[in-house]
Amino acid sequence: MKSLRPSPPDIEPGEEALVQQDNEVKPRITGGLLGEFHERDAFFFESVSAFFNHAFENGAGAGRNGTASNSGVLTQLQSIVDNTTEVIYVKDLDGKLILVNRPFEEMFGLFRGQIIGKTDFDIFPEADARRLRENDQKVLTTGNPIEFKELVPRPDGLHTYMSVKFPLKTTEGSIYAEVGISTDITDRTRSCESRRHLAAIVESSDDGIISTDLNGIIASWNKGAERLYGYTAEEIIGKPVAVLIPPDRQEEEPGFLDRIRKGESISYYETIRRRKDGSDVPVAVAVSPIRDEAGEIVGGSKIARNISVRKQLEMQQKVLYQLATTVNRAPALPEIYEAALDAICHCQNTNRASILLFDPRGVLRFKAWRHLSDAYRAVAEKLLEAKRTHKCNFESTYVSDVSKAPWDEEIRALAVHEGIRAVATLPMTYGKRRLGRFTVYYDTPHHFTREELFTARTIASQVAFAIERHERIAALREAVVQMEEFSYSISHDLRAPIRAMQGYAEVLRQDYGSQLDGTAKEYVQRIIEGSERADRLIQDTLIYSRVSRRELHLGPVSLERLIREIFQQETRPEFSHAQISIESPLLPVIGHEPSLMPAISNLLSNAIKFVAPGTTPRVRVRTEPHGGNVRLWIEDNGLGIKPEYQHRLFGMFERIEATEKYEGTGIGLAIARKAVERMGGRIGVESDGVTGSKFWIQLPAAANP
Amino acid sequence: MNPREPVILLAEDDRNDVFFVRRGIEQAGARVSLRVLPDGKDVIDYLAARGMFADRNQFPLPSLLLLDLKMPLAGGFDVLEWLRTQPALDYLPVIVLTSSPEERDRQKAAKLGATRYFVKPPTQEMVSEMIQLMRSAPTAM
Repeated sequence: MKSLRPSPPDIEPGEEALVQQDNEVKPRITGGLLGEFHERDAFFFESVSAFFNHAFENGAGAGRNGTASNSGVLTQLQSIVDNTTEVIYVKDLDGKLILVNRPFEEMFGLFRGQIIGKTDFDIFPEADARRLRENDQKVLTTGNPIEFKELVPRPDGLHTYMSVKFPLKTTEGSIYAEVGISTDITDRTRSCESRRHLAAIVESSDDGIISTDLNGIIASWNKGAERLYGYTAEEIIGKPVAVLIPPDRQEEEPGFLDRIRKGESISYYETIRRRKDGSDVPVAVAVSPIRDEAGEIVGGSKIARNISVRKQLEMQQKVLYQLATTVNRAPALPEIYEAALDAICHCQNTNRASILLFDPRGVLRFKAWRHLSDAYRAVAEKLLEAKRTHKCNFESTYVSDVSKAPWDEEIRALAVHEGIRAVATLPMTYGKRRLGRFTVYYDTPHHFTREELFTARTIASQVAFAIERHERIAALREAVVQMEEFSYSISHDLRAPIRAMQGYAEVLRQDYGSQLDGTAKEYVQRIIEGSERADRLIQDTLIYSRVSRRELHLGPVSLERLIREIFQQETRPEFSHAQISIESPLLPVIGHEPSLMPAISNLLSNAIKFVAPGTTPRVRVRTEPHGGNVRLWIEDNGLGIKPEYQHRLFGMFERIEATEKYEGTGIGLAIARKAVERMGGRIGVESDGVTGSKFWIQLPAAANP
Repeated sequence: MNPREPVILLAEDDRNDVFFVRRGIEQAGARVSLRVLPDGKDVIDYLAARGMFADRNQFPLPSLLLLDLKMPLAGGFDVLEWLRTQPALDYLPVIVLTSSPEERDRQKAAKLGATRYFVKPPTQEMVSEMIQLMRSAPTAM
């Protein structure tokens, strides 16, 4: 039977296009009676029709009455159709099934008795049944065999059938029934479709996808591989994959083949491959074994992705990072220029670059360069000199091809002679300040991409930043040096005449005291006191400026030791009269001892100094933990400071007490506050203005030694 | 000038300071010949017996050098540096007498071999220490 049937419809991808939306295979009916059915097909249909007619007629016309009989011929027909793999059915003119074969029963899990006499509408959902009925009507109306692609719902989903339907005619030629032979092509359709999809994916992939046999001979080659390696499929298929591998990496391929033979995959491997034109390309490769239907490993697939863009970006990132690191290290400028030239040459794959900076006259001068001849630089500088100041173009300029650029003939000739074919010039600015130019040269005409200009600009701005910072640091250093010289000369030169006043007044008193009356002696005394005060002011101002600007290296300070040292060194007479109690152990702090010393010393001397006449100064020194900090308290029995004055206390030249009664420059607490704040601490006072003051200094706690 | 009196060489360009040093020494009652030079360059010439100081009889080596740091041509530090290259003058005690209370100057002077560092004005205590130091120093050749 099978040999008589039309060969199963061939649904290779190319032919699939013939199947129209209505699922009818058009060409086969457009050509007339039997369309393009072959002669053999026509013979087949006629034979089958005759056979059916014979069977139905001999079955006492049962068929025509819509019921299958058990007559011998019909039984014979039934057993023939039952033993095919195709689904075969006969419907009368009303669409009632009058014969179905076993595959039909199996298809729906129904018995013949449940099916015979039913229509498609009884078996299928209405929409599907209507479509099937439409196909039947076409056959019955045209009287011709037609092949359809039919979709039929089954319990496991929609199945695709290729159905050949043809009418049964009486010997007089009138149609009385229709036969359908349907072949389930669902699997074939599916696998074909997925195969086609896969093929399309492989072909359109940007990745190079190739397969080799177990000896590394290339068996397939997609368009992506052609783009990646430069070989066409015709050129490369049949060649060993080794032609793609640079000499120093030839050992990779045997390793891959070994892994493939063992059934292992390599999901990611970065390597270098060689193109047809001899250039190398960085690729990421995935390798997997290919198995035949029996599961035997027959070869390997390789998917290679061009990672040169990523590698380039990674390299640029690294180069920019290194440059930033160098700039941050703040070395001398020439080192930064060299690092910037290195970076741009590396990123742009060129070996020529230059940095030009404005000289004091506003003329651009080469400051650093790579591979530019003396002659070229001389001519370039000559031209730059001519168009200095406002005429100088300060935009970015890109010359893709020097030979076509509207340049001065002399410099163009020189550039071409040097091998310079393209130039990108970027302004180096910091804020609005123009510093110079950063130039990259290429030895071939160059199309500038946004990415590479971005990189070049980043490098240029790093250089500009470095120059600006360098100049600012130099200016700051200069200012600090000048400040120090100023302080130094104050301490030497300004104090000398004050010392002289003081000294001579002293001499007057000692040597001529007997000749002076009381008033004269009083005046001499005032000169001495005035000059002493002037001297102290100068010294305190110097201490204040030193505390303000010197570099502080913070470390643990033992307050216990420091405060005892201060008392030991203190020679002022009032210290010896005071009662001092130190509540040991004092907690250690983090600070800068040379700055902390004058601060504490000031608080102590204030505590002793400002007492009511006739009172013995009593000072209590203690520490207490205060969060992660330590508070040093210096408490006295002095005059105290009224709350309304306390805010003025730590300012420069602020004095709460009148000069006459209590000596002081008014700088001491300013020094203390400046020192403590610079150490990251705080200073304060608690006082009601009657019963003494409690000054405190708060600094981070140090671990107990 | 009594040639048997020890010589103190005072390098000082401020005549007021010269006055106070001289007065201090006089008040201490020491018998000393105080020679004053206003510049470090002169001090070096004097100690090296060069130029106008070539005659050692007239310009004998001192028993003590009082050295100001800030002077016009050569400062005290220049003198100290030069002294380090003169082994023959190793014996000479040097007191820096300066208006600078700066710690870095104090440290630099100590590093360059100064014996003491006094901040002006000179007190009686300083003067008596000067005289003591002068007396305990080995006699100049």
